[in-house]
Amino acid sequence: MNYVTVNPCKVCQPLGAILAFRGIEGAMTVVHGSQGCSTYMRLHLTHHFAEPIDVASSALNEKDTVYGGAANLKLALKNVIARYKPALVGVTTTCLTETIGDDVNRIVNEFKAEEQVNDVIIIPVSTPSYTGAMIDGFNLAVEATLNVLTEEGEKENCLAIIPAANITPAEIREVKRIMDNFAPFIFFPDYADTLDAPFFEELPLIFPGGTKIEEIKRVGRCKAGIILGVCAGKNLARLLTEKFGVAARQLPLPVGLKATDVFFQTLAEITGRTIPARYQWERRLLLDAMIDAHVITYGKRVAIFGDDADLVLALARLVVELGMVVAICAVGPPNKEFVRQGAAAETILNPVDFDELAQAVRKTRLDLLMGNSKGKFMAKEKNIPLLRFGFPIHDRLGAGRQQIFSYRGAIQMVDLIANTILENEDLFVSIS
Amino acid sequence: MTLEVLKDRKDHIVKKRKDIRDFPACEKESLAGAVSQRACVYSGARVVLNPITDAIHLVHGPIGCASYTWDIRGSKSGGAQTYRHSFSTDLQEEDIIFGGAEKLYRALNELVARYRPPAVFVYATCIVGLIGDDLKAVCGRVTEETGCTIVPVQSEGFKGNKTEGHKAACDALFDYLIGTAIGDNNYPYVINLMGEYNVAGDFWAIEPYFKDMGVKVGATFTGNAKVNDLRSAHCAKLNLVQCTGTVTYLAQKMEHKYGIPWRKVSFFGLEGMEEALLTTAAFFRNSLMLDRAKETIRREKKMVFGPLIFYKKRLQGKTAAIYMGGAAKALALIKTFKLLGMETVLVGTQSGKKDDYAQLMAEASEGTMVIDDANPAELKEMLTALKAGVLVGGVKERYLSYKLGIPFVDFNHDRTSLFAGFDGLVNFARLVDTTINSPVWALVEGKNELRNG
Repeated sequence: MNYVTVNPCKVCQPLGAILAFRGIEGAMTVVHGSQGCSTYMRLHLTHHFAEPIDVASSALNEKDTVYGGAANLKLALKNVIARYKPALVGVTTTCLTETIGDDVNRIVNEFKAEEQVNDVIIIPVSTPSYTGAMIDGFNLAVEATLNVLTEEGEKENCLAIIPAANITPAEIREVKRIMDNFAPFIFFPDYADTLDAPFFEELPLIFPGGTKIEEIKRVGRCKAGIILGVCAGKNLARLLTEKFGVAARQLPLPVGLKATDVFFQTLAEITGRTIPARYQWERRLLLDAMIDAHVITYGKRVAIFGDDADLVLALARLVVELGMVVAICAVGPPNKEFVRQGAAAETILNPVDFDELAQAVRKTRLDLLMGNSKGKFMAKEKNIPLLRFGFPIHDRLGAGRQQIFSYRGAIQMVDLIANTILENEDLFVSIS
Repeated sequence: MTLEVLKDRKDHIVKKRKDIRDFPACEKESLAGAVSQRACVYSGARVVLNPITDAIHLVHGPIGCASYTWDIRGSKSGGAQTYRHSFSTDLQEEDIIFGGAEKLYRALNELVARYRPPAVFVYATCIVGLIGDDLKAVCGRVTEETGCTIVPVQSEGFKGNKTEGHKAACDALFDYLIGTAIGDNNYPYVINLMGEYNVAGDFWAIEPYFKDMGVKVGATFTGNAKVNDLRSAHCAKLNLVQCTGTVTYLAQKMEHKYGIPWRKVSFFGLEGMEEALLTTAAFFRNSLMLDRAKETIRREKKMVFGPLIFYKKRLQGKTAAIYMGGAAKALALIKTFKLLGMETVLVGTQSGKKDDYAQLMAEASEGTMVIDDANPAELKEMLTALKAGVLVGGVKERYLSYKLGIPFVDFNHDRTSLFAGFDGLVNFARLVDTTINSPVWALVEGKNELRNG
């Protein structure tokens, strides 16, 4: 359909910004807009991560909308600071406040002067919902934070790692595990512990974890930077390189054998260190797993979809390594880089909604679907399995604990994909 | 209990005291920065209308409002699945600048051509109110040109809170659907069930009771509803109103225009279900009907007696907390917990009204905390201080509850267990038992800590 989006394969920018701010230690977010925006996004996130997620709202009403939302935003900041005692508050805009033309920077500055707030950092970011999608909001919030906090300075032996794609808390932990063996590093934004939190003895209002503000300041001192993702995040690579002199390069997500090789080789190259033997070992474990599975996966046809181009491409690369055929590769929000890189697929859909995707799925033979939980309708109609990846996953547990990065993650993936195919084909035949 | 609350929130929390007529401040805008659990006007309209199964629900605005509400309502359908799709005009920057009316017009034409729906609801979002798209004019034009009923829903998000959205939905139903078709005027015992959304199939559990009494349900607002049922809803003789927060306004309007009386009922809990059937029979002044109702009640109560005793034994003496969207369910829950031998220590709602709170205060026992428009920080403090044995709420409250180590039952619009009717009560009791008596809570207690040596 030309004028209607039917079953959207994207969410709006402020949600991405909320996610990014969640990766800063001691941070809270205020969504400057009507009360519903923050509540809906909280609901969407809490359902996915199975964690309580507090996000404040400036709760604009009709009067504020006519005369401007300054008073409400100031009140929201005051109340959030009083109640949550955050070290940092991210302020995202919405379509409402962008359209009425609120100057959030000015409002924040006035607020700081009026209330004499000196010890709380406030970072506004412009994230109207009528442009871009989740990942753009995420990257804009990261960029805004770097712009406010990061200082230039003499370069140190340190690497900055910044995701510009939809990655899970468990994947952040995996990247950090790998980096621990290479060089001092700063991972930002690090929502590993704030979005996959333990059962606490006493529940804090703001969960511990996140990149420390001191670390974000020091990003400018890193001698190099890696942006995880190539389809988005150009703004971040440019900012690091041009403003802070941090040589930044964008890498595909380390998913599957070759992309993980690229990740390790880049690390080795930047740090001048050899790749630790344990990863050579893990790589061989992956090869062994792939050989075990290759007959099962060969020629199997899969449709891969989601709102994050880098994740979709990463999954596509992995299944191609397993001899599978990417029949459909689909990404919701428009993305030129995705279209350029997605060439291995029989059909590339971008931009797309689930209506158009479902029509393509109906037309072709498929063994497997891979994508977010909104694909459940297609899976049911087609009676084929859906392996849930990406965002949102609202009908299964453990979305934040999924880990597909590195050789280790790929090993789990190989088994999962092969076993799903086996389960679907015949339950009681031994592998031969 | 000393609570740490924001100054402007103090009046929203009161403690039930004997002989003191007091209730929390309510019906106010949410406090900025307080992290209210409420949503917006659009969400209020959407919850009321979304269960209409064969209609197209088109969200006129940027994509978020449609994405976040795609198939999140647990309302079941016996037929059409159209309502489980998410339709949006997905407004982009240029639409904001040049106006979205033309795009809406084309979108509606596309939808009507492809789906031939009996009606399209067009929801206004914040942005539509700002850029000045004339929703009514566009909808009117497409109705005229295509013959398909296009219903504008004036649910601009910033207009107020969820309650405003309920009103916008009621207005849409009243102005554009009700009274536009002739129903069965010959049958004397036709009723409408209002504020019954067929969540998890609730409606299917209670309809047989009415059938048994010779009462026909003409239209349900709006669980499992079809557009055409709603068109002739004005032919009913009685409106039974369950979810008072959402549809009382509509029942009042129908009474005023069509002379249909309405009664407040609950289909949840023994007492509620029993009263609903007896009220209906009494209304029609039909002794046969009354006998049938009494027979149903006797039979069903006998059926659930055993299971309820079983669960009561397992739950007696535990305490409960309730945080619901509206007050009707909260009230029914207090009664039900009493039935199960449990005491309610905390009850709150997102958008209860003064009358609602007066009733809640009356039903609550002494010492119960009553809270309006709570936020996670307040819930956390109160649940901990009151040592609640279980919380009943929605998804946003679920993981807060779990993180506090407090058992939880989902009684929101996306639950998957039916709670209405006599059997529904047993389902509810079973879920309370399932969460309260899970071995996991013993494992998280302090004495089970991992020790060195």
